[in-house]
Amino acid sequence: MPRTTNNLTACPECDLLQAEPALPPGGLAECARCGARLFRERPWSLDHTLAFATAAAVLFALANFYPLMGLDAKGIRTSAHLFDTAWRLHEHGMTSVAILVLMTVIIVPAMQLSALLYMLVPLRLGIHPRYLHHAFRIVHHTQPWSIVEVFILGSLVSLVKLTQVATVEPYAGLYCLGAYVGLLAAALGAFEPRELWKRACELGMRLPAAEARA
Amino acid sequence: MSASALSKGLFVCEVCELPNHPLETHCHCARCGARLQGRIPNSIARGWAFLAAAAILYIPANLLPILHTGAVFGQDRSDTIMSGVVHLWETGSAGLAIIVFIASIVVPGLKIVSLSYLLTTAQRRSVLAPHRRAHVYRATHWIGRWSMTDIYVGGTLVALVHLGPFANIEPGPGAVPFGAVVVLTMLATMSFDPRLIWDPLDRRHE
Repeated sequence: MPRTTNNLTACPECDLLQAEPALPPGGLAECARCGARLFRERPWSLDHTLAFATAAAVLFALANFYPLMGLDAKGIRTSAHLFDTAWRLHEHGMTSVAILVLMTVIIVPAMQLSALLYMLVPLRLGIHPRYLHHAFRIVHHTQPWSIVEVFILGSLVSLVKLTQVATVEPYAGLYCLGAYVGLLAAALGAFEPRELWKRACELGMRLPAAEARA
Repeated sequence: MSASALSKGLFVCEVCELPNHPLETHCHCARCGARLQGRIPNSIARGWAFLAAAAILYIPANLLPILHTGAVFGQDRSDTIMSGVVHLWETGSAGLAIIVFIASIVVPGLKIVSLSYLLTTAQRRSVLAPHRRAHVYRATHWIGRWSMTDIYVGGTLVALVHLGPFANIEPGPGAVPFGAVVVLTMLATMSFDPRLIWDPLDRRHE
């Protein structure tokens, strides 16, 4: 049995050990057995991800700053910010649900974006970020819990529901949040971890044990 | 002849996907530092535990009211998820009624069924239809988050509609078990190790 993992890859979904195929730029490698995506050859991946993630971060900040939507019922006007959706639930005694909302639409997305930028900005400038591996794990673990696109669907449902009884209007915050969702999807779609590790190794990241011997 | 990384003594990192020699790296991935486990420990038992909790809470989630609507909007009413769907349908928002019905009732129910299927077949070390089960696993993963819709509908309504003591929208007690069902089914999906679908096939070839 060879002691190295050089040019061998294993499918993350079915664990099949297989040789890494050489791909043209833009190519996609799929598992020979179960068809899961293994990796893509995307030399431009990090630049695209950085661009989209930066734009997403700006729009996410704006989405938190501006109100999401407003209501006018017989002259009484109200409006709601993103944070209010969690805060009002807490005020009504639904603290557990409020925490769920706060985590999934504000805290986790913010952590995810911060970790992405923490990795990509220094790498772009030719610096190896010290806690790269921590940031990578944060991006990996936050992804399933960052579900703002579902929040957009939820707020559209409630807007339509309210049009029957009051005048409601989406405000700038909701548009920013919608744009953030699109940009984040583009950033994660362009992100190719292989390129990240390749770049980190070029900048002097050293791998102990197994990989170093490969 | 196919072989899994595990059968060759390699632990594939679940976070960065690097195949590792576990003993040499003290059970942490050489590249990203995540804990190496070969397979998710007790994947099937954990999956069943989360799933059983979700299935139990699915009942109060559907029976308890999830939203109280104050009198200014027609009549004072308390809605469960299903009565909310019916109300949407009757007031002419058929499209919304279908979206909410699918996201809040069909998706969580379907997840409980599909995870039971994956867990049962993996537990019995079935070698049947691995490709179909891989598709079911991916679909379950992707679809899970959408059942949060009703929580966000509630959150935004409550945040926006506070117009005085008789014209409020308030969350009902059903919101807590409903949120718990969504989180628990997501945890059940994450604790299921898809490599268990394929392991029995490796053993059979050997």
